[in-house]
Amino acid sequence: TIIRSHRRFIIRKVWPAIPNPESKFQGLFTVYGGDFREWLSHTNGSLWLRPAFFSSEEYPSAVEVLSELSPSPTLPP
Amino acid sequence: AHRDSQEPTPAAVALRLHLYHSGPPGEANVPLIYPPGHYLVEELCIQAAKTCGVSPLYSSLFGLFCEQESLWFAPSHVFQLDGSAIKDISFKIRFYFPNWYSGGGSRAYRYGLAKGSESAVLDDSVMVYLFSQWRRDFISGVVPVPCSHEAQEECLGLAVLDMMRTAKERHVSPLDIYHAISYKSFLPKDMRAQIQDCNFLTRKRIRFRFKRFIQQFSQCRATARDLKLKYLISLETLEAAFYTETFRLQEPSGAGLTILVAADSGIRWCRDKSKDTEQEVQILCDFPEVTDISIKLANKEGGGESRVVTINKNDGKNRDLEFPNLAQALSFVSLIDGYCRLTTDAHHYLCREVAPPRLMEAIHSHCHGPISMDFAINRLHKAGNRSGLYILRHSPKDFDKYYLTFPVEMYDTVEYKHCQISRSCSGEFNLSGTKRTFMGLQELLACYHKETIRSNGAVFHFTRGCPPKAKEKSCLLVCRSNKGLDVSASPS
Repeated sequence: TIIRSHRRFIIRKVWPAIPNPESKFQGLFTVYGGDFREWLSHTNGSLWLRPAFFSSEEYPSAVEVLSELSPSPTLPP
Repeated sequence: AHRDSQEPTPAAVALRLHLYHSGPPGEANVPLIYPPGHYLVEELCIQAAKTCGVSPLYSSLFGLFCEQESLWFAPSHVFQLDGSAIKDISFKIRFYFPNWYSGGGSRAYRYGLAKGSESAVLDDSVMVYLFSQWRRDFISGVVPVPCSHEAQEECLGLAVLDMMRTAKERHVSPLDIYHAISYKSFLPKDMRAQIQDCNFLTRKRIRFRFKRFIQQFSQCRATARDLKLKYLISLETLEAAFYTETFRLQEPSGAGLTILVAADSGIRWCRDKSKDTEQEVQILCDFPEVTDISIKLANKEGGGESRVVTINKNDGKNRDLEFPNLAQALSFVSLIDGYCRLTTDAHHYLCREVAPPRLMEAIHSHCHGPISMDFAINRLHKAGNRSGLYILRHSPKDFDKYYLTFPVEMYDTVEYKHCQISRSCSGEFNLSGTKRTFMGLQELLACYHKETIRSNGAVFHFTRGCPPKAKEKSCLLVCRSNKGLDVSASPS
């Protein structure tokens, strides 16, 4: 057993488990056929993919202050 | 990189404001530079936001950070710079809501007028900014990440996303990027060093497997935007420190105390680990529970610099926290104040010392924040659209514009008009179309209060304003449906 555990130690030293990025993309190719957006929205629980904020644009109205409209202050409304 | 920019002579530069604004790919970011003088943090933030295309609605997520001092500044802080040394500060996203990207049950979003009209906490331009900011914090090691095997795989996954994103933006193949730039430059500093420590064979195996995956990923249909989004989601999951601020304090007994603040879990604290007690994170309170905060000099002999921050809560209880100095105390209080404004009341401040001056001005003149036109119209509608009613609000798009929105009856229907008020760079206000300028919004309204206004044939009097209501729901507020779900989870 000493020899065996020693051998395992050597193997782990020379051939250690290496980190693999693939494990973070499970299903991307097998299930979603490489469609990143599909994969992303399914793995993160219905993703918010709408454009962020849609606000209707205001059109500033032209204003006049009647008292500033000299020289005729009695303009009809 | 900064040396290449067109800078005045070094003696004339007192402040460098760094941005994570992603300009054309591959181009270095040029900081904004300022000569000696006095600079209000809020105004610097507005200038930075304008430069980066951040609209007023989203600017409340940002703050100024000094990396050397590891310190955030309150919007009310004034830098007094005589030019004897150059100060470097960064315009960064300080307020972050986990799960902002999610449409599921556990998520954060901005209130909408009706169910289904909620909007996202960030828009795409802010997301891109956040990507640049977090990417830099990740790779430079400013925010350290765990070094487990699991975390290393996550880091390599992030490097894949980043390499793909670079390829998309430069319109080349991912393998071209792989051959041009070492994959290690997409990894955090510490992990680069770890890989460097591995033997030759292991290094070669990691590189080979990375390359093989990049090759496979080349077949993937993805946009740069979605790659950035996934990058952010992965970082949020990997390390809560990206959006959690930590303050180290001392209790009167001398024991160490750590305060943790994050949007999803509120304010938490834990005592430092000692021999026989486990480090247990406890909830101090959530943002809506805070009613006000005060800062005072700690009662200590020998003229210490420490400050006592008292958090008053709505249950009548309070909690004292002693900070080592005023700067730390203000940084903490401005954080809580900012989160309260984003989650509870957009027109309120908890502590005068950190209150943004433009907010104080808005409160004084009963002006709403950058709510959308729809919210303004809804509010007038709810108030009965009576003649003379108006709402004063900040423009959602332009930092220097305000609107006076009011209903006018045209035949049988109600129409809404929006008069624009502009603020000049010297801080003077003018109602577009009129001649006079005023030193404040309040003065402007006071003047036109008695006047008859005419707009496209309709005549109007500004008789009664609709000021913001306390805790009024609008797109300025973020709802956290994920709140409280994992409050007992320990910080990583």
